[in-house]
Amino acid sequence: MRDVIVVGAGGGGPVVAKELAARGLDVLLLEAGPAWKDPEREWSQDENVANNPATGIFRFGPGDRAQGPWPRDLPQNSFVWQTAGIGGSTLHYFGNSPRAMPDAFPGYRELIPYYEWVEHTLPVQTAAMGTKEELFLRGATKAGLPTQTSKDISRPACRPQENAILQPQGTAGRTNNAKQLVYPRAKGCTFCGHCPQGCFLPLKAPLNLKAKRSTQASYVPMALTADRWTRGRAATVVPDAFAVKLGHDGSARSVTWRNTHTGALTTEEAKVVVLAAGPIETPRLWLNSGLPNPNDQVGRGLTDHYLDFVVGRFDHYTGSSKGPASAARADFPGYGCIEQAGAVPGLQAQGLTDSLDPARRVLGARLKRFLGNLDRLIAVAVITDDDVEPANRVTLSQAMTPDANGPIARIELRSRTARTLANRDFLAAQAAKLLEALGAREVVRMNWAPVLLHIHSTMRMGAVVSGDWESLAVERIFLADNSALPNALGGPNPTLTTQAFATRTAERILVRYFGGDPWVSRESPVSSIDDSVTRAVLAAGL
Amino acid sequence: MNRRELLRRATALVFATRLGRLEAAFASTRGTLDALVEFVVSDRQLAAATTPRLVRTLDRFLPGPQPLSATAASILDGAAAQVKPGATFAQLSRAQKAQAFAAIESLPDEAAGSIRFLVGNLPDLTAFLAYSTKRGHRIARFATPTRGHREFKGYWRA
Repeated sequence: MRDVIVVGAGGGGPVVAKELAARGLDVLLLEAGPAWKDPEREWSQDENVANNPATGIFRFGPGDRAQGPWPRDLPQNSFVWQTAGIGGSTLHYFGNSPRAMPDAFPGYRELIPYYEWVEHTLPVQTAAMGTKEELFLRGATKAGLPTQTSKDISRPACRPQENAILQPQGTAGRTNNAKQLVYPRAKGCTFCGHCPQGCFLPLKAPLNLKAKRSTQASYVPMALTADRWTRGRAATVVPDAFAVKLGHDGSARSVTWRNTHTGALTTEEAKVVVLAAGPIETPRLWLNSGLPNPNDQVGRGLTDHYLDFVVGRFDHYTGSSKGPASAARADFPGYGCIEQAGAVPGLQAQGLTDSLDPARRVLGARLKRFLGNLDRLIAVAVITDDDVEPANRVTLSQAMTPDANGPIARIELRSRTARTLANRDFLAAQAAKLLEALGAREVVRMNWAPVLLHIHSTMRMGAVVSGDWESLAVERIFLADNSALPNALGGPNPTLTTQAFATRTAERILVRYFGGDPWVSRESPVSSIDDSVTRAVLAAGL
Repeated sequence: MNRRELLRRATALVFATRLGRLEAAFASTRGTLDALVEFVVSDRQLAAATTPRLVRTLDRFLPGPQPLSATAASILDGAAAQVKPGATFAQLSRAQKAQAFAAIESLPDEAAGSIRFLVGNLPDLTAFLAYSTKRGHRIARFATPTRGHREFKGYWRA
């Protein structure tokens, strides 16, 4: 019997796996998607190869790309952007790691030590500036926003992003010459502009020193080498393992998973099970396992920041396609956030043609005109503080045929409150004001159909899990993904907050079920880029 | 158009295929999707590179008894007939094509959720596929692969 089985190796699961492996527990980490042996060879900056939703390396589907992606039932114009594989959606994320709005949920102050622990471990660093970031912040300043200088958001203000991206050192960011952009001459972000295509740079850097701090490059290597960089026990990671059932008898007992290549089923028992399959698959697994749902809250209350996109076209160079995808933001407590969002041509084109309102789509010759000046655009993502609505939910689809992993998830987005809509309009107006202050020749607001890449709150704290993120209905089942967040955090990108909660979840598990002591307030974290970790990663051949 | 109508069209296409009209069915699909791609990108070279990608992506996205590309084309043609009776999507003007999308977007939720999902994503999927081609990158004056850029400016000072 394992001590702990963690289901899902995305943003949150590896945090629990690393923390508990470092404490000497026997941890099994399951991931439905593939493992990556050599990203420098396996990944590609070609957008279609990387991001095609049906065939791309970073689609939501099995590692065998001859098979189709895993289906979802989406009964409205919307798009889910998730990745399967070790690292999950942190593989394509921008690395933005802001803290939540301080008044978004009770107990923010108590979470700060856990934020600090994660910020040191990843690490999270203040973003370096390229042209597009400088312009965004200059525009925000012209629009009247002060600069936020603390990690905690205290007022409407702009700031460089706090990013899980290593700052450029050596030749990184200082040359276009590929031959000079090899580790150790180049360290940290090389400003390649390809965050959504995965980050395998600088070339030749050890896995834990790649610029973007996906869990694939940070927490997973630490979990796998916990016997080397500390006196822990190396975690076991099993990729291509789609969890299909949780065994329980009022208390967690086992996890059954299906090998996505062979179809073979395997069951292992564990003292504690941690669900971190994401806000769509976690409730699906819960419901498919027949686990209790006494108050009908499982799957309900999905929030997605109701993202929108505002783009300005300029007469001068903006560097839109270069550097970290997003390195500057502005936060508006009570409303949400806006952030500069650079993109390479395919994704920029996608962003300019998506709309709930067909008349807003930028099409044909106009689209060609916009993209003919790719590096004269500044795009701004609108990240709305959206309200929890019971009608926005994940259920099991009755309309679509179950796949090999069981009945599939249906994601319904039925309702937006007047406050959510007003917040979104306010933020879009702020984005337009900023772009106009910079002298944009043309500004378009897209009114995106829901793009689900910040998905939260389908297994909410207080409704489905306790404040410690343990199930209210079944003992020894914990959560460690965005599904347990109580809401949309007031707007900030959710990954860091979930990782802070996941750290706390790990601590609670050790204390409650394994007789250990809490450590976050008593010890100092080891950074994933520490020399001891690099030595461990190299010795383990990762 | 509701689910029943979608099903009717799908069944008709499968039936046509069984009768040996496979080639005609594919030609019809291809013509409609060609028109969609030209509507989105307005560049012949770019369109030529995009339609095969679009067909492949749709058919791989949701495998089923009938290719998803054929279903998508069938729905677009159905919407076209509502805008201009007797016309296919390819026969519509640009303004009428926009009207066809608007007609689908305004379908009631319960009856047409999956149709709105499919059709709502077609323009942006097409644009993504088009501008991630070599031709698309040339239009955008974008060079890839790249290992980095000389773009680091320092750190922000308020």
